[in-house]
Amino acid sequence: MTQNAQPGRGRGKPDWLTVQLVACLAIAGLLLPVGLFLESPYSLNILIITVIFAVMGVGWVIGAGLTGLLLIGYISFFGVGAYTSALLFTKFGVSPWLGMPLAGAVGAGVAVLVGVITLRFGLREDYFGLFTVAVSQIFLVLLLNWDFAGRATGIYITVISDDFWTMQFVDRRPYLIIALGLFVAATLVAYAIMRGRFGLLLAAVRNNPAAAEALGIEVSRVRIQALAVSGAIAGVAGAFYAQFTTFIDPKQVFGLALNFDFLLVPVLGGRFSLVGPIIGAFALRPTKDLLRAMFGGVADAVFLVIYGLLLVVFILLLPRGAAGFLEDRYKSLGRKDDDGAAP
Amino acid sequence: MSTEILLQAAALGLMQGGVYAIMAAGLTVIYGVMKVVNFAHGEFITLGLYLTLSSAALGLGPYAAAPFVVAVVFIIAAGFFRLSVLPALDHPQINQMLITIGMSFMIIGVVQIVWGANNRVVPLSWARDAVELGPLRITYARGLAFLTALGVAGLFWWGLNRTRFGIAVRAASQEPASARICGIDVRRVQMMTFGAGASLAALAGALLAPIFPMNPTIGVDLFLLPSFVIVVLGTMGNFAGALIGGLLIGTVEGVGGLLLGSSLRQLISLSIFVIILLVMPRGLFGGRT
Amino acid sequence: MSAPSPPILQVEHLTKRFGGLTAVDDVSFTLTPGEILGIIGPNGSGKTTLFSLISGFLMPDSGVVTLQGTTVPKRRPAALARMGLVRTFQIVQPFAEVTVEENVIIAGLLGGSRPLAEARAIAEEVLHFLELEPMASRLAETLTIADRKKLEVARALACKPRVLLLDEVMAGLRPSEVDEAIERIKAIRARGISIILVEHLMRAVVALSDRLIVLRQGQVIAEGEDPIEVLSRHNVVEAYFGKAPNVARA
Repeated sequence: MTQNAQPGRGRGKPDWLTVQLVACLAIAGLLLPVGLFLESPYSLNILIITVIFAVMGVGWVIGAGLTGLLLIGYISFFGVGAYTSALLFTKFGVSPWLGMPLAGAVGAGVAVLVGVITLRFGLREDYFGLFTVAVSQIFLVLLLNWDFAGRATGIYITVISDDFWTMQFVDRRPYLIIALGLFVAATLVAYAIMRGRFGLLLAAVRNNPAAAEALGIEVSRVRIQALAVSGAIAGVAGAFYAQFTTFIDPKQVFGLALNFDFLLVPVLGGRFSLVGPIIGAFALRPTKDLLRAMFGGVADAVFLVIYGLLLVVFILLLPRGAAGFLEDRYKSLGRKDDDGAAP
Repeated sequence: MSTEILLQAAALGLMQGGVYAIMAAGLTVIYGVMKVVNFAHGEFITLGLYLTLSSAALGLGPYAAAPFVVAVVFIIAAGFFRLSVLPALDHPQINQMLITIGMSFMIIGVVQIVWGANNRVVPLSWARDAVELGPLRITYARGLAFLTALGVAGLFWWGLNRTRFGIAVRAASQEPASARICGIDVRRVQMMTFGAGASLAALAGALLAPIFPMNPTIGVDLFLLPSFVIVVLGTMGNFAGALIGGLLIGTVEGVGGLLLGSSLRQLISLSIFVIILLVMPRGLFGGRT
Repeated sequence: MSAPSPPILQVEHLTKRFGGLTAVDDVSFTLTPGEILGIIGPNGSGKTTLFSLISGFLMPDSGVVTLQGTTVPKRRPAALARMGLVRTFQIVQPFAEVTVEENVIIAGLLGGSRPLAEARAIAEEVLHFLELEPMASRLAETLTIADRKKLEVARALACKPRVLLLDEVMAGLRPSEVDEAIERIKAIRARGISIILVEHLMRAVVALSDRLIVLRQGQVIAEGEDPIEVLSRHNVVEAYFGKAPNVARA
């Protein structure tokens, strides 16, 4: 991964990171008109959810892919974001436009807390991963017992009429615009990190923490900073999700099922790539919905078998995700050009 | 609240802890040998439950069926492992984990197709019969589950420490490279271990079948997190630690559930989980860092 | 004898036990600016443990390390590196997935305390100095052992240290490469960097050391300014070869 190769060395061939950025922006630019002309609200909903998954994937890439942390209980940041904004809106009338940044702050706060606690106590790898799972489950149990947040019933947001200020739209299309905006913003943040100084520090931390430490890099601090960005993105995504789906409950926004989906997106797409999350999200989400539509009978049984099988097969075939595969292809393309042997 | 009720809760918890112990022992053995956190572990318990259900339909009682159930799950798990986890052992941990999650989806789906999504229970004519031990009342089903679990755990422990294969397993877990040089087929040991670990979970399922109403997602809903808690408590990879941790968590959950009510019951083991992770991440038997 | 300049690094009564084994036992020494201090000793005599204690990777049971007059109370490696004390690892630790150049740029950032442009300039200079330019755009994991050792030194240099701890940077090199390495280390010293050198290769130790310390079972058993004289001392020979039978020494 030569993400920081100096410009100009490729002699006309843009580096892989630039290609990824262009691809992401192009996909976002393409989805906007496609989405706005979609007739069926069902397809539009799937599209919007897919984009949210991609946003979540970008957040995971920053907090886990780039840091090398085994961040399993990633959904905690999403869940606290969803609850923050939904509670502020339904109980205090705070606009979701304000709720989203606040949710991002809360998500980042929880992420920093998780980072400080675990790294302070020297939890690594599996232990770090299991700790994050425990945290998500603790949030789940706490919210199941919190009267103010509606316990197991959760929170409903009713949409009566279009209102920009309260982010309520009967016609779902404005949600797509917001979701794409979030995706572009998250992608630009990730690009800036990967391109810049912080990306190099993260590469050091991921590759060899001991050597990084010996060269003056505060490994824990770098990881916590990345977790904070990751938590902020997930928190904002959670806030938007609550507003968009108009209903959240603890079992959903802190549950293992959604959590695993959030992990699958970047892993199938490419753990430390920029374009991976959007590829992963489109490989996963619509496939899931399609399979469910085809096979999902009473209890989704056949769907589960096929979905599980596909996951296993693709993770085995593409251990570095789709973007890892594409990166190799892109680079070998260049090598042929250099040798003048390209057909 | 009388001491008697408290004692009764503790005893029931301890009985449950026996089953927890073998389920967690299965998970910890798998982790010890190949450092894979198996997220499909709960589903092997589910398989144990449902295979026992089918055996009962064929007229085989739950205890007579247990060896058959264990053998079937061993084959299924070892086969799964060979095809999916083994090729990914040198891939990143997150990949291995998600593969076991895919495995878990598949098992849940199959269980749902074969047995349906409704709650089922294994009929047992003497399910409610109980033995009185002073103030305590313990059903035969729970008592038997407890004793069988302890017996099998003891047998396993003996096997790990006294048999050639057990020594190979320990060698493969501590020094895989050296074990390979010494002529141990590490891949085969890993496969057998995964099968055996899953079988222990299946046995836990078989023993619970007459006690718990089952549904396809019971494994992930009820047993996955307690397994993690116990395995971390007893030091990841430590067989005896998992057994002791299982008995402890079972008892604590029994008493805690009584004192705090069922909705906060989960919080007890989660809190233990977090405290253990923070204060002694290597568990009770891992020594200080 | 000229007035001794104040030491850049001072190690006082450093002790580290692992269970019943005392790996480093009451070790004290000083390093003066611009000096190359050689540390030798048989395998298991505590050289690498001593390095880990000085560079903050291990906490000593007792003893103090002072860098340019300031004691670092909570000794973390990253903080020490920023203060100008940088180590290399005996088993090389490259950032395998990034290029050689990026490895050195990362080191040049000194934990993020220097801007990227400055780190790039430093890296360019260091790569040139160590003649690693031809490998600059290769992935670190594709290098030969000799080049990996060089990369290890290159990264340490990019931190611009005042004290450099070199842990067996010549192990595994061919004789011609060793000669080259000796010249390079002299050139590094000429830049005003003080060096502590742990090395098994006596030829290099003798050629480079201004002063030599011999460790055995965690203790300093000999110290002196003339490496050859120190090496021929009775107890040093014994440490390496065991007690000689009753044969008269020449």
